[in-house]
Amino acid sequence: MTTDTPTPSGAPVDLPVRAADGAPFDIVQTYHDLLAQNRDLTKPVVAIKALISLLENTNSVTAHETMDVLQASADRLTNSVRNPVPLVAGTHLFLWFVRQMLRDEGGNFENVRRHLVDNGQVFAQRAIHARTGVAEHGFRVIKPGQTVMTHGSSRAVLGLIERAQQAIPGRFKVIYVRDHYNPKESERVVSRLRKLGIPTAPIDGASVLTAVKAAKPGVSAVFLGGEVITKGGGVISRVGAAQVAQIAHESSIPVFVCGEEHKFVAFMPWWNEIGFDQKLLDFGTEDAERPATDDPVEWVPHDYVHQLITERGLHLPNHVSTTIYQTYGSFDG
Amino acid sequence: MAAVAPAPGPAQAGQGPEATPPPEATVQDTQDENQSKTKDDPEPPKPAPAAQSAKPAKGGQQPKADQPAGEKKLSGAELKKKAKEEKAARRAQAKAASGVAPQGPPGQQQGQDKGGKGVKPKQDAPSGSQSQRQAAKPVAAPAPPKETKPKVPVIFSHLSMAKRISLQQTDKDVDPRITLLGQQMAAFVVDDSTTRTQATLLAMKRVLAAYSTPQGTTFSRHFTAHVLNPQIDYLAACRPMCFSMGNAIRWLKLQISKVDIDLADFEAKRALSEAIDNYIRDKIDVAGPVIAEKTNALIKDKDTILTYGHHFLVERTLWLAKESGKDVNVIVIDDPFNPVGSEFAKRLRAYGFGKIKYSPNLGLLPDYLKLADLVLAGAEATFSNGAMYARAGTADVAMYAKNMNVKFVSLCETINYTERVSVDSLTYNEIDPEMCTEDGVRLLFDTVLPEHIHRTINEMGLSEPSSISGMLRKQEEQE
Repeated sequence: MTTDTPTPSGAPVDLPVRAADGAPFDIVQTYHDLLAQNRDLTKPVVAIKALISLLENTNSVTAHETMDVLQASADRLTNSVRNPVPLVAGTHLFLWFVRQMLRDEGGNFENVRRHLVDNGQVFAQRAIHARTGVAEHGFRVIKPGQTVMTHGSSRAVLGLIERAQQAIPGRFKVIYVRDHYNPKESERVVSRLRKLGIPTAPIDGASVLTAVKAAKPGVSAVFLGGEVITKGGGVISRVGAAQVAQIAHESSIPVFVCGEEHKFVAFMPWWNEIGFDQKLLDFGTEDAERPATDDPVEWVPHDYVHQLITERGLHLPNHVSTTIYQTYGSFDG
Repeated sequence: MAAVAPAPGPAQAGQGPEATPPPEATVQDTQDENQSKTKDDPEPPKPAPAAQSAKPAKGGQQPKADQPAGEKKLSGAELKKKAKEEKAARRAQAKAASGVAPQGPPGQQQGQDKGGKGVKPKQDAPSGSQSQRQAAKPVAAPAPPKETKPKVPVIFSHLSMAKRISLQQTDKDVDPRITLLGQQMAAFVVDDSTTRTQATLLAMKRVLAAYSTPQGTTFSRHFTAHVLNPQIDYLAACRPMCFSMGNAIRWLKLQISKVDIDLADFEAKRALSEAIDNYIRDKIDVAGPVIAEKTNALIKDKDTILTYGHHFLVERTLWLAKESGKDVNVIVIDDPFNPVGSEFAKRLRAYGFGKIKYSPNLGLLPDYLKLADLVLAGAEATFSNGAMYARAGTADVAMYAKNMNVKFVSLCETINYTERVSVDSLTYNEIDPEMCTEDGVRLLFDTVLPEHIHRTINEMGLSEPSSISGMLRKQEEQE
């Protein structure tokens, strides 16, 4: 690997073994390993980390070739998981970023690769930092004496609530809507909040409406997180989030979507079009075991979303489209 | 028409001495010779801008200032002339009333009326024109009781409408190609905003090609003021300019102002001509197919698409869906006042669509919507708050679709976007010249509120309506 070949396509070095097919490097395995090692990283970021380690392990020479390898691996990675949307968000952003860098570097791929590999760690650090940024910008939304509602186990939302607890300890309450599909995780979140000293009331999804209407002095805000934030300011989140959002919207309670901006995705679903089929409905006439739908997600329409809280502050829901337009020069990424 | 066409020629000669702005009083004071000459020559209408500036003052004072002046003089020639003028005016009114454009030698009142007509298209700019109009009315009332155009209710008085302008009333500076285009626009032959813009730009290109800079001026300084503006005024008089024409002309003027004054004439013309071609290519020729492609991505096999009236972007999209092998059902709800949808439905049949439902009006709309998966509607323009300016009736479809949870998608090229904001259908609209009677006035357009639109598609992609302002801001930064 020559580091200072000014013309990347000029030097016909012995063609290296591609990390594409049959190569020792397995992007899917790498992704799952990284995901297991870095529990505090989001899926898009882990996907990007996997692509960076792919760059470390390939020795393709030309930019074009490497872009092909990256693209193919990104496709393989997204196709390997059931819910591809978060991975699409990460890999799309990364590939775009590499292309931009290539353009800025005048096509010198070696520089780009070195830069990316050297900064891979920084990148992950930044992603974590972004999450604390969300908490920093959002914790003031919770004011003393208020009751807020949340659902799921978004790290951005929990970070925000914890930050609020530091600021106004014990002076606000949380209604936590338990996730029917992940009971253990819900228990974990509730006990974590209670350990921090936050008065927490867990409820079931079925009682959200009653809880919202009956709570005195009422729910002041709803915080939702999600895997990706879709164009328009909606969010793809655990099943249950949309009804919480709808009830809140209906009751004039502001719904805040919390998330880092690398979760933005140039994708605008409709209820049944979230990128993959989850087989939520199972019509049958026989008594049968309920099919284990693992970790179902749903789209929370942006109509229900009041504001976004990102590491760059509080924004209107159209911030996503605007950011995508500013980044990619088009609404379609 | 062609027979009368030479009229501007001699008129131009007659106009010569008077070209310096002629408030009537001063003209009367000058030599009788000049007067008799003018009265024989048909007085061509004044260029709109001049008439406009002169108008408000003239309108207010004219009846009073005029008569005393006539009584004072009392010269035989004066009296004779006055009588003749009045006769001419009466004759002209009779003709105008019977629907023929006035041709006789116009007197003062007639000139006034013409001025009024020349000014009227300017109503494009709502605020100013309103006052002009109101100023003009009191004058018209005491003068002979004439009624050429139907009354527009006060609530619509700020709106303008297309109208035929006879060649006699056409400013001499207007290029024949523009005259033709203006007539086509007034007759709604060239109808939708994108086509109008394209036709305007192409016509301007030909005007540009026929132009040569006079001695002693420079291209960039002379062309806009003396050639471009009269054409635009004329087009605006024929039918109020649409937003995209405004955008394109603003852009064209900017390009002209950027032309280096040292550049040779032919080079400047060539550069501008190329710029116009590129503009049309980027903003219109490329945008349409791109929008159709992006919209087509929303259409799934076996979908039922509902559309209202006809818009070429919708037609292109449906054609593309058919081409890409999708089995799509179409429901065409037609505009009851302008049934463009029936031809559209026939064309769809010709494209090979098997199942087409056609409704001549909005009746049973909810039942049709129940069958639909997607509503596609083409916009005449899009405001920066995401509101869509489209064929009257579109808002009904959008509201119903929203109510029934059917996706309503608006299609619009970015050339039709305007930085203005609209939350009602009254601020910006146009009166249907065919349906403007004592009994009722029909407006041509609807403003569809952003909350009734699920998706907006332009050549930049698909987004929610509220993101339009951000896009326009960004585009402005780039310019």
